Amino acid sequence: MDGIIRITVVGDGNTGKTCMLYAYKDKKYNDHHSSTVFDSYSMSIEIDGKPRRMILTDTAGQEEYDRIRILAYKECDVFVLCYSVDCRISFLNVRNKWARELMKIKPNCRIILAATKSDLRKIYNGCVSTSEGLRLKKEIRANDFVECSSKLLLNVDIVFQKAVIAAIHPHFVKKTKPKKEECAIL
Amino acid sequence: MSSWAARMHRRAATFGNVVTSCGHPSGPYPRRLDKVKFGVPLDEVCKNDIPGPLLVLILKLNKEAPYRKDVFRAPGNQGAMKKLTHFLQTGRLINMDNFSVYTIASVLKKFLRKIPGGVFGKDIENRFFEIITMTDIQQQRDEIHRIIASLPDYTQKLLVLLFGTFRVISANSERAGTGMTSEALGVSVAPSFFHTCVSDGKNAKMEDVMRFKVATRVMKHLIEEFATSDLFGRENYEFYARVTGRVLRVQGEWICSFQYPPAPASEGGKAQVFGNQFGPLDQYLLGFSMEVEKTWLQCECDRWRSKYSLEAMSQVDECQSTPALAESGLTNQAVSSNSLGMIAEHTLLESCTRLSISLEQNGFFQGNNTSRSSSSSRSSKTSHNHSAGKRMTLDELRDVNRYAESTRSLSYLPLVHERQTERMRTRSQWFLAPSVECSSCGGSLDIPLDETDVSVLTNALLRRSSSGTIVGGMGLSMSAESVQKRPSIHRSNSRDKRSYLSRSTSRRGKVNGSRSNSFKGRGERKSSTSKQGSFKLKKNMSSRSCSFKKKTELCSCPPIEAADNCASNVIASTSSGCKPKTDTAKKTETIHVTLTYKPRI
Repeated sequence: MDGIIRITVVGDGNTGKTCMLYAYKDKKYNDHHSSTVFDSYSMSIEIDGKPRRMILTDTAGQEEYDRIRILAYKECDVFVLCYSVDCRISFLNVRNKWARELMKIKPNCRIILAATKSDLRKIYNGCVSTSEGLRLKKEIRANDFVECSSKLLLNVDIVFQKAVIAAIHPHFVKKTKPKKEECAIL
Repeated sequence: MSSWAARMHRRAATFGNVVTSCGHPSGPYPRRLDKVKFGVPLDEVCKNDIPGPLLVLILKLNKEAPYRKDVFRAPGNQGAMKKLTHFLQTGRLINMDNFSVYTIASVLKKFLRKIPGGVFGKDIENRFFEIITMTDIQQQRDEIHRIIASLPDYTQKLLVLLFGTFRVISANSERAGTGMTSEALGVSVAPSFFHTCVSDGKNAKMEDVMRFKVATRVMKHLIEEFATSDLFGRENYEFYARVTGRVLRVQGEWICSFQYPPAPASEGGKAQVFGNQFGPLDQYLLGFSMEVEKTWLQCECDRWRSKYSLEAMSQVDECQSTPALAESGLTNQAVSSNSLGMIAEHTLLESCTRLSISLEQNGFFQGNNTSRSSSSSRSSKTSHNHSAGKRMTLDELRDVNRYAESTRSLSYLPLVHERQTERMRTRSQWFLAPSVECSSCGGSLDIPLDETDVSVLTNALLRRSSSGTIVGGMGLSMSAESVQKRPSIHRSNSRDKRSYLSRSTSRRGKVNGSRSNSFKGRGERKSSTSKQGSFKLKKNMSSRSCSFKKKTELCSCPPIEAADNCASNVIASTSSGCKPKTDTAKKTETIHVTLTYKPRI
């Protein structure tokens, strides 16, 4: 590891990936509404008293951009896979599309499942519940599951903290590997 | 109903005709539509025209997407997308109500993405990339116009529909709070249009990201310039307005449905001025509409009324009962706007009328007319009725037919079924009424009713009828003809009268019948609005049809009886007696009234 931690945010269109990144790096909610094609930010953080560089890559959610998105997959350490709480389709697509895509391009990748827009739970009915999210986390073998809200700046930091932890701890990788082998044998 | 059907069959058998709906392959509803193939070149998909289902997809988006958040950006349901794609590819009937706007938008993008080489093609994409860097706006516009004009016809039409839809969505993004500005739309749809963004092979590079961003800018530019400058050309704008039923303003002028604004004296200069002046305003036209424009519009209204005798009102009334309009309180809006007789560009209520008209399968012309006729046609619509039929040109006729074909799938609405049962009841009642054989017309049946009775009946029934369920009359006559070259005899029902506007006789034999029935003829529409007019028209048309029949040596009715809903059945025959007409012959616009009745089970 060259000391750079690369985190890529993926997920369906309009799930609030860009907003989440903004909320993390600027610590404020940005309400501008436009799709991303491809963006990356670099910032430095301190881990165990040592400064480390972190590259955050923002991708487009639309499936048209799947060829460009692959760019961000290559050297990525951790994926933050987003779905929006108020959009069940995006939740379903995590299972149907994203998890498959990630597994195909980068098997054994580390994934943090993030449920965005959790503030909308109070407003809309029929949102994706926490237990559903946890179930999905197990299903796609994500390393962690966080619910966050960029608008209220809630848990956004935790998402990226967990991503960093997943990146620098080989521990996580070891944990998932034997499980898979067992399954294969059985 | 079954007893009615049995009776019907018995009667039919006595006349020695094969009048069974089971013998007719396509049944009451056409089961197959044009196929929209994915992954094949566009010229193969659009052999003659944009395939119907595709048109319906776009129209649905055009109607609903401006109100919904993040259409084209948000993902569609993957399962539903697969289903819809499959349906489109196999040409099965689709009930669009089952699919969300997001799914449809995703499928549409997928369709564009799967076109080999893209909609534009590699060279034109590169040219677009060059053009976007130009600084001279006028030159840029000219160049874009030239590029678009160089594309094939169907591509132009498809593009104008798509960009028109994008334009509506972006123009309403602020008001409806959908967030889909032209920029967001550009990002979302650009990769579907520009396939060259990723250089050869699957390995994307960082330059490709830049290309994507340029493509996004091109899309944004095209969307924003859609109505401010003459990018697509007059014909295409007219096509767009006609199909979507929207009132469109190009270069600060009005396009009322399918009317292009009268050419200003100094077109170039004025257009520029208008373009600059009104560009930002044009989404709120109604509010800003100036007196001058209004009067011009009214002039146009009058002109068009006399030309096409706008008869849409009764249909609009009907439409307002359809589910499509019931939503989101648009009815009130529509009513209030009726008083103005015009609808601003992208105010959206017009489009609702549009789609519900297509639900009613009435074809183009009411739709076109609704925008203008709303206020004015009610008062004076009797005068021009009978002359209107002649004015349809062949192309318009084709459009009508194509459009009607494209909208058939929407007839699977619960409401239609409701109406159908109602109609069946009335129908069986009618059959119980005494009927007299008409000796002169070779066994066709005539109803001994007074003119007034018939007209009352006709009007009452026509109002209620939604044509979707009476599909099949012509198909029947065709099949009867092919079985035996005898004069075919059908019972006629006063309300199953459908004026069949004879078109391309070179159409494929079997398909002909099942295809041509899905729209209401002009005559029928006429009659639904005014009694007097309807009779004139009927007489007029049926006498014409009779003359045609004599030509083809088929059974003919005396014109006067025919006028009173007697069973005059015209077979637009190509094989028996009458040679296939050439295009020039068709330009004489023979209009046949088929007063056929086809039993359905």
